[in-house]
Amino acid sequence: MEAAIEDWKPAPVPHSQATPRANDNREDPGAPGARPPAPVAERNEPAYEEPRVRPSWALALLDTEGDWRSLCRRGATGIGLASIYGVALGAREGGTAMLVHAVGVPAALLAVAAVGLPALYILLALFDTPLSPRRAAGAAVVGVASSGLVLAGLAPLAALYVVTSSTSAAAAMAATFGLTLGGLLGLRHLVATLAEELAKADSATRALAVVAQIGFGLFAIVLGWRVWSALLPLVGGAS
Amino acid sequence: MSPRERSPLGLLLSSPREVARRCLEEEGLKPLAVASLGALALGAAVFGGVVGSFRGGEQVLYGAIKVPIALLAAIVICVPALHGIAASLGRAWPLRTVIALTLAAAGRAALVLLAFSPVLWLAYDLGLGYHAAALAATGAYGLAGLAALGVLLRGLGRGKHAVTTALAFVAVFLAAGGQTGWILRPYLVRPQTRDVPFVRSIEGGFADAVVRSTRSAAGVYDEVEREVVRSAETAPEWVDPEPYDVSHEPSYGYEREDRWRAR
Repeated sequence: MEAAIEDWKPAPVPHSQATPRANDNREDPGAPGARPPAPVAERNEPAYEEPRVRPSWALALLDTEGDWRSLCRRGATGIGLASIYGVALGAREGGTAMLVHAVGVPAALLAVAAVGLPALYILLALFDTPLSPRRAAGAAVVGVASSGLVLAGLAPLAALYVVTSSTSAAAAMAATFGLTLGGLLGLRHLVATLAEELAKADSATRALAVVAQIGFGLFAIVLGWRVWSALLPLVGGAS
Repeated sequence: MSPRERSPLGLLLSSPREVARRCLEEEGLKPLAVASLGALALGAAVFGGVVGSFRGGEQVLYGAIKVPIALLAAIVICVPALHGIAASLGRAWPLRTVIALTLAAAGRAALVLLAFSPVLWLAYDLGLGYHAAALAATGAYGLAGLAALGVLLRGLGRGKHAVTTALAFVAVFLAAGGQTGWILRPYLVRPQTRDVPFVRSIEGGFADAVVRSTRSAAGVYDEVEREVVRSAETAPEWVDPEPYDVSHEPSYGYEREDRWRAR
């Protein structure tokens, strides 16, 4: 027995690579034979990849490329979509109110694009920004189309509220929220498109352009609201 | 079992990312949409029936019919708005993608409501009070909404304006769901209520409530509210313990019941 004890030797410790541990954070990923980093996939789900989304008509509508004819077509589509929201607002009264609101809602978008954008273009041209009239018009069309898409999408919700609200104040509030959201999202898209075009300019020009765009944004908000409050009976315009 | 081998219902429960991917890539939309609609109809109907069981009787059937209708109506109203907002914020998806994503999110939420239904029913059966019952149902609805948000957020991905788009989606759905729910009320009715209509008259809505509360906070009361405030004087203390000064209000010849106001 004593000989057996003397001959006893401890069992060899297995090499760390033979029995890898799941949470071994001390392992150097750069070391030879190191395990690859854990996959990005979560439990029961494949590794994340950007989905491949098919193109849609909305994507084509929000494109800034193309000639003047395609720009006009896209602008007219945006105006038509915005007028759907006007029809929804007029559903509270029905009849000619739907036509009045259908004309009044896109009028503000047209006013901002026709009155505000040329002034902005002149200001930006004074700062020698690399912006062509075609590109500026493309940004305006994108803004109008974006507003139109949002407003047309909000039309069923607006119709639900203006028809079922028992007071005019509540209906006006609901209508105002939709107009505000559609207008602001279209304005954001217009300014973002202009910013992409102005990215090629130097930093000083870009800074001046940002100030000009902020001023344009404020002007657009005030002008848009002025037009809507004047033309839409539901939000306080002439009936 | 890999996500690609699961049934659509299994995917709705355990793989929101795979569900979102299929919606965006338009892969297997039909079985996913059918499963989502079926889950929505079943889950919402069972939940509505359980909420109606607080009173019992015909309210169980009314709830089972109205909750799926309110949810479906909210989805139908929401989808065009979600499509427009997503396009404006850089995700110009096809309309069918938005429909599939919204249906899948709603189906997942309905399955969560179905899971909560037995617990809610037991709580009602054990004698939960009216207001606690309303809070419990609201809490279940809120958690179901979070489950739906999981699908939507995975669909929106990691690109620009993802958070803004998600917040806009939530706001639009709350607005649509709130109003469609209001139109089809009541759902939770006190047991002592004798006659319960299938739906009440509309009497305003979410927007009206906001406007009225804003005006009341500013001290501007409508004629109906003045009458309500005046009648609160004669109610027992536990209804309106705060005294209301009516010295400036026109008198209707109604005497205050001071015995109800003993301090």
